[in-house]
Amino acid sequence: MSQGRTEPESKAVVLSGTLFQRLLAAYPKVHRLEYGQPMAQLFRDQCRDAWRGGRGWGLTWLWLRVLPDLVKTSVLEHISTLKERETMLERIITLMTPRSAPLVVFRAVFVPVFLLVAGTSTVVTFIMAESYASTARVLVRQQAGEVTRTPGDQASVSTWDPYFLRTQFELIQSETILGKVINGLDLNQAWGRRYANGSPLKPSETLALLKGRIDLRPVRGTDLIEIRVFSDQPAEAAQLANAIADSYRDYRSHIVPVMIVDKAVPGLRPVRPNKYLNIALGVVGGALLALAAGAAMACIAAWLRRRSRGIGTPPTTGAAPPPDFPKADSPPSKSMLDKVTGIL
Amino acid sequence: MATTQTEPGEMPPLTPAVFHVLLALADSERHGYAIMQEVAESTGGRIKMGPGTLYGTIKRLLEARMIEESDERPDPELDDERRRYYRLTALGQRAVRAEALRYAEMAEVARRKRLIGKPARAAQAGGVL
Repeated sequence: MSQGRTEPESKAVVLSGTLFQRLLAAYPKVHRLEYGQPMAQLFRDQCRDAWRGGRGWGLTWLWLRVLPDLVKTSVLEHISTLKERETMLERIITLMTPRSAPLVVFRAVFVPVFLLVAGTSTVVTFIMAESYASTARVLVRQQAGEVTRTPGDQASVSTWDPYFLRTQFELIQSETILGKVINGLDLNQAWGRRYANGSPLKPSETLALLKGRIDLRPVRGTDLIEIRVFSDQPAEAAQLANAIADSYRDYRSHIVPVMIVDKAVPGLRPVRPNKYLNIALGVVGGALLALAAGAAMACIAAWLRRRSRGIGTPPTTGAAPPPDFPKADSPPSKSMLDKVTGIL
Repeated sequence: MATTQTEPGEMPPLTPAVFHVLLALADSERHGYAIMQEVAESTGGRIKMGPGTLYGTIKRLLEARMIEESDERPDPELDDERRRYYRLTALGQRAVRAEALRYAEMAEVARRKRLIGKPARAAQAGGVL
């Protein structure tokens, strides 16, 4: 239980409580007024438990569990409220304010959908593993007479080879070049310890992993090639990029000298995930999705309102409750029981 | 728990959330957080009700007069005055008994068909649920 606790609340718990209180706006006003305070109090208690149990991760998991619950139950409460309103119209008089209904529904759908999408993208962005990149640049010149021939190609030996750079890219990613890197850095063992519970990886597995981390690009208008390598460790990314550049230089040196123009250095900041971009996409995507969902639901609400206007009798002042309205001491009617009963 | 005064057919079946909340209130008055903890504890942590589900269920149970708010505080000195306590009404007790009997009957059928074994405690006592 949370009573009698004297330890100060963490900022994350306070922030979560405040945010949840704002999110309660997704519920119908009647429900919010009646149960908003105890719901917020319950959530704060859950936050304290989650924080004590797992700190930031505990809170994250709590949010991931509570957000879908909030969306689902707020929609259910709105549907329930709409049903009750319609019943009131059919049975007695209309007490709702028809003009505000579509707007209320729009807001009730827009807010949770937007918060769910934007919140999920933000949470996922911060959960994703960070990746660092390091780039080595090498100067590659085509030797006179070095032409890549393809079947049926009548290219002259003195012409510029349009396939030269593409060939070099494939060469850099070949087993000839990368095999030396793998052996030199003992990657089979090192990555086996990291990714395969200590058992060494097969050379083909290591090669596939390494290839997946390499990005090769030409520097426009020059003879330079950028060898970019990604890793979750900045030092490893730089080490790999330099090793690949060295291996390539050693291989090409007997044809034409290759100069390593820039050595790779460990990156200071992760390049993946792009947090600002991800969050911005989540916000924009969430807003668009919420707009579409809110507009659709508001249209349905407006249609229901028009329909209910046709069913109801004109409002009268001081109308007495209908004959079948339950009295305080009467047993519950079937419709009341229907609210708590259902198929298992 | 089960008495001969309540027949399963007397009350319609309850939703799982409603049944869990009624079960949590079967032995004492509780506030929302205590209900949530009781449900989590009794289900071995498999069911953790969110604030929306819990108070939506409480709202419907109040409307159906199966539970009611209680003004009494089990230990007022230790408790927050803003907390609302809930307790079962006579109707709620009948409903939860009927549902428990319904579950027991279904369990008995499953036992006869050898889908499940006898519960350890019931087997030791030489009886059924």
